[in-house]
Amino acid sequence: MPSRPLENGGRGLEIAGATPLSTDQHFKDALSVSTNSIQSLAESLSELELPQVRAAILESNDRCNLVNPEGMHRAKDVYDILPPETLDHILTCLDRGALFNCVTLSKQWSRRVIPHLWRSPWMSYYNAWVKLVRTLAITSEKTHHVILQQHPSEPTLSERDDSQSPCLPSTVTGAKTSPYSQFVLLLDFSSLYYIVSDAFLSQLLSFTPNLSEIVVNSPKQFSDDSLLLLGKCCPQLRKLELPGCTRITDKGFFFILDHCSHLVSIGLSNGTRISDRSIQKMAHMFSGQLQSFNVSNAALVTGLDPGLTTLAIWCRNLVSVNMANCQLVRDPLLGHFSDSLLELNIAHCLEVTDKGMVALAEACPRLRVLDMTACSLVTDQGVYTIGQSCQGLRRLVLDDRYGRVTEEVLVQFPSWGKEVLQRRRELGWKSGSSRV
Amino acid sequence: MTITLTSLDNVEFKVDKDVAERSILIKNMIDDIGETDAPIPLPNVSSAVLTKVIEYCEHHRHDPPQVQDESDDPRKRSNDIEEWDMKFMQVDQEMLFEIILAANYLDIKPLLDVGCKTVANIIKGKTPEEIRKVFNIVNDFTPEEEAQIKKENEWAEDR
Repeated sequence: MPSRPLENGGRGLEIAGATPLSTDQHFKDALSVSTNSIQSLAESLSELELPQVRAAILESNDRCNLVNPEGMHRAKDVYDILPPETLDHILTCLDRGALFNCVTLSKQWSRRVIPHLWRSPWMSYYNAWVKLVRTLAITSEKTHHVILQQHPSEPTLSERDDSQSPCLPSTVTGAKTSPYSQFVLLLDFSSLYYIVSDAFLSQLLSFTPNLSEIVVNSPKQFSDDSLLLLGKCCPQLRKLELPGCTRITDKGFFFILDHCSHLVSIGLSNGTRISDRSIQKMAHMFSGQLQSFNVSNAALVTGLDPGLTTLAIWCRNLVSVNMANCQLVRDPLLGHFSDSLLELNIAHCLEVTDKGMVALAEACPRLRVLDMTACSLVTDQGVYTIGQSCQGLRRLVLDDRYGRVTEEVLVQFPSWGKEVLQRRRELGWKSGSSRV
Repeated sequence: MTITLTSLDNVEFKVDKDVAERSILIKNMIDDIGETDAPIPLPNVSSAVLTKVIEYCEHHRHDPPQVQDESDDPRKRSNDIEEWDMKFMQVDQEMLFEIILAANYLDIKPLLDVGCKTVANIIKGKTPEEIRKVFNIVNDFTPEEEAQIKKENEWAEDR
């Protein structure tokens, strides 16, 4: 947040025409007390024979009293005291219930609060979601002016540069949508599996044209139909996380790739039917922008070319890759990643050997997190190379029994300690499970 | 090394460099002009507020630089104000806003953060009417508009 000068001078303890008092310890001490005792401060100053200062302090005390109900004049609305970004800072500290109470304070407060309230709706009851969709679908014209009206000093939405302004409610479905719809940016259904279905999303997604992130985890029902809808309705999508969406296939994902050109983070883990064909198409289309990719436990994804090798070769800005339990992940693949990579999970990639570790250490010296659970062909030599090359390593996850890695190599990196070195069981995973 | 700061009302404050540099604005100034004995004028901060701000910076002079964790949901860590900070923020409302404005101007992010959290805690648990009273907000909705806005947002009602 950029600092901005105080815009509303003339408040507080300002002492016009006062002489410099730098050496007056008495004054400083007095000032350090709470302004609740301003009266006594003023009295103590009278001993110093500084009538100007005394008057100024008393006047300022009067102004403080304005916030009290018994004050004579109406004090300033907090909205006009604090700069807009500070108001936003305060609003981000409020939960949904408190934001709801702020939404009807006044018109200008309402305009400031609504984007916060609608940014990332999350309710555990289906009924509440139904109410939300109802508002998005049929908002009364009565309040549109309240929500859309801009502050006089700000450009109106239509005057703004199109490339920067958020999409106004679009007419994807042909129906006129409510001004609220532009504010929904994040939808996290990761623990709302019982709510998500194609039918539910078909109601909701057509009203969220600016959606930037969606997370759906092991839903009761979620097919390619929802992906087609996402692609059609949410072109601004940047993050797509679909762990456990076991029905989705290349067909639906192709549609997403063709329509959501801003994606930077994609998760297709735990049983999706995405195959190497998707990986290849994605790697070619999003080569420069893809940062995070998770296909752990995706049975149809392999380390081959096309497949994860294509991903490693093409996507040069990858920061985080999780390919735990993917088939045919072999040593040469690890050498193809670029040095942008900070986090890599190759747990249960059983064919990886020391050669792969050497290639990885060379390609990705900035690596911070490496999970190599159950990579039983990796020995002390591989771990030693990683330790030597990747000085920024913050976490190294090994098998419960360390496989072929011995304590001898681990003691060579005393700085790792418990902070870096973690056994899988300590992280709360069952030893046999490959779910990550 | 000692830095001299001059408040809006021309009061001079002598503070240790590491205390003054909790303010990114002052730190950048010192980095730009080099070490100097000349007082740094802070024409936007009164001496009463500057006294409080310096008290905060002195208490937090040894804090490690703040690590911004983007992944942390701000809504989940709104109540975690340290005990000392909580006591420090027990001032009247006018002073609270003055401190927030000064923290914003001087670019002291942890202080700004504590100030905003304190204001958020004032809002929490209050009805709209109570919030209006505390923050001097005039309700300019017609009863009809207010009811409509409430209805449109009722999905968010805390129950």
